[in-house]
Amino acid sequence: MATRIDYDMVMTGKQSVRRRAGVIVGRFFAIFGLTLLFIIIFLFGLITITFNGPSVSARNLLVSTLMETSAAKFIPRMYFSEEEIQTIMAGNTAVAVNEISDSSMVSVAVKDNPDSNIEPIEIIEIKGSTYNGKLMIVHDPSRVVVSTSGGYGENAKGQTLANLVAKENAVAGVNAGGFADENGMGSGGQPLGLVIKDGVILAGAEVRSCVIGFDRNDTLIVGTMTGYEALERGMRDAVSFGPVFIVNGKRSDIYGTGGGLNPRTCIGQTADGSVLLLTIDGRQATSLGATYGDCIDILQSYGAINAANLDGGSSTSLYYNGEYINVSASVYGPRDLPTAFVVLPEEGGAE
Amino acid sequence: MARPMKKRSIFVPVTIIIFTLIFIAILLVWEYFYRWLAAYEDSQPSYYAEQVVQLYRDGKFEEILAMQGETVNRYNTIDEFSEYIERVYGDLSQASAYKSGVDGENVIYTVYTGNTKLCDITLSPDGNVNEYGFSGWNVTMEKFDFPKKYTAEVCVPKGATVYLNGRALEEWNRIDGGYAVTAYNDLDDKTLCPQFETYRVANLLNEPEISVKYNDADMTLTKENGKLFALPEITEEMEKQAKDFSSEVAVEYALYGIIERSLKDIEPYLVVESEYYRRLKYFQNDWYVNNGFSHSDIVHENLRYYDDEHYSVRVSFTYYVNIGYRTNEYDVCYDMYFVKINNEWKLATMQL
Repeated sequence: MATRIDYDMVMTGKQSVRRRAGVIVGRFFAIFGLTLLFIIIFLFGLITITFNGPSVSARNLLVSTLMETSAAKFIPRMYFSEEEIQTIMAGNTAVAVNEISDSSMVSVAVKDNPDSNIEPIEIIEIKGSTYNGKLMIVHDPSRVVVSTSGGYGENAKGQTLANLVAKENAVAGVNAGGFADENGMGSGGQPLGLVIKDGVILAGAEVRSCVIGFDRNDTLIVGTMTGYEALERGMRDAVSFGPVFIVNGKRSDIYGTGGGLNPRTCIGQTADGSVLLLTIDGRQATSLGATYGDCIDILQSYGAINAANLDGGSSTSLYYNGEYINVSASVYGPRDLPTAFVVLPEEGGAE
Repeated sequence: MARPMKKRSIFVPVTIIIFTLIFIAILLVWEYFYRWLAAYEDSQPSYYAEQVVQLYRDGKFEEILAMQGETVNRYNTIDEFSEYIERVYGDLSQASAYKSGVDGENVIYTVYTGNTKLCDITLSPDGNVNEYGFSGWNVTMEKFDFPKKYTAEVCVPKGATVYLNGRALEEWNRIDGGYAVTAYNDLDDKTLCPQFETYRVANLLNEPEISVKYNDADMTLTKENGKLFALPEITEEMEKQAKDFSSEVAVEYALYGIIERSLKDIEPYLVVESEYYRRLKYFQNDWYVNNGFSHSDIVHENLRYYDDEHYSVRVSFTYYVNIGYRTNEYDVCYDMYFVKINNEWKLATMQL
């Protein structure tokens, strides 16, 4: 009777090589599998410690951060009940001032003027302990309009910010309103809430939502209203999102962490009419993101008297002079969007 | 021929060792992360604000007042204060704080209960960086903005002890300005005037109970023109002494007035080193007559002891002077102010 050793001894050289290759592949997958398993255990441990550890602030921040994403909501739901999550979210947010912007508080003092020393568009680097970002200051608010992908509907598709800027022959732009984005797979063709373009309602006429837009005096109006009410207020361009950050100089109340750390896009206006377009990079090693509270602090420090949050996360993008100048959190490249606030070129000349 | 030994693979033991080491490293990282999170939490402004809010929720007003440097309720018990706060603000168990602003490096939180603001807290970096790179915050709490209704102010003789809600007031409760019995200003030696002190405690939550002791005896509190005065309780003995002596002096003075007494006669009743005495001297005469003086019953009013060495009293009576063919009748009313010098009562001054 042949033993196994006997069998080995009679293996041919080709068989031996094949067997050895099999062993190497097996070992590779064993190492790979174990490494993956350890990475998962390690990350699971970090998340568990964060959720159940000594820091309530860190827990709240992580829960808020993840719940503001489209795709990672499942993580906090593994640890907390829906009720607990809602409690955490409610205790860590910005509660808007219950007012609507008063246009008389803004007087557009500085229109673009070739003789002026002020750059018509300024780009300022913004840095904080957990975030990097860019603030675009547009001194002439009449240049800021909404660009739309158009043809909204369930099967419609949005457009990238670059295309939305190009559509208006604009020189710059940021993403604006929200859109249906189930599990982060939205096509950008179905806006959430109101869209007004050139004084015409394109979506969400009857929905009462947080409206962010400009009236015919080029004043940034933020507040809760329906589309019809927005038209009655003389709004020429508007979208829906939120929360409102600053109304008539009064900042929203910040509870707890004031939201999670995420990429943010915000819009504000100073008393002299200058428009502040703020984007915060996020979900990257170099910039985790900013809370609502951080954004309010930044906008207020640049003199915003009206300001609101726009769609953030992977949608956050800032485009200027033919290129994206922020670092997008979207790993798939620029997202398709339903709306953008874009900056038209100076009258009588290119930027 | 010996069979060749199969070479044992070291893959499994090496893998086990490496992954065991990695696992230990993971445990250490988790442990460090846990401590890092604890340090992170302790460095959060929201954590500091929450600590303050918790004081409100737990009703630890003694600590809150200490943080505010508040002393106004020294004479209210902490229970009274808690009761008061509950009355003004309602249930504080749901108190919360939110970030209401930034001022440079400082972060401002506002503590609320319902829609009512309790106070602002300002957090400023304390500059002490811990081993995890986090720095702490100094907490400054704005004083309570609550209506403090009552102010106690009482004027007492020098040396008296004032008790507010059973607690003795101290020197720092004294304020400038006190009750002055201006009539005694006629005395050259102002130290002989009655000395008063005024004690004042503001921002009391409830109307306080005030009591004053003077030489171990309770004083009587009287309110005049909205001011509270503490005066010695007048014993029968004190009353008798005051009435007898003031009657005697009043009659002697009346006699001096109708030239039946010389200045020398009434001098023992007077304080010679006084403006009043000098004024009387102008009326001095070296002769006197007997007009057949008599008087009605003497009435005493407004007897008031200011302390052990001063009292005043209103003395009134009618006196009659027989000038031979008829008797003249005079009504007099003297406000007389006495002072005790070297254990003898003297008339310091008098107002007609």
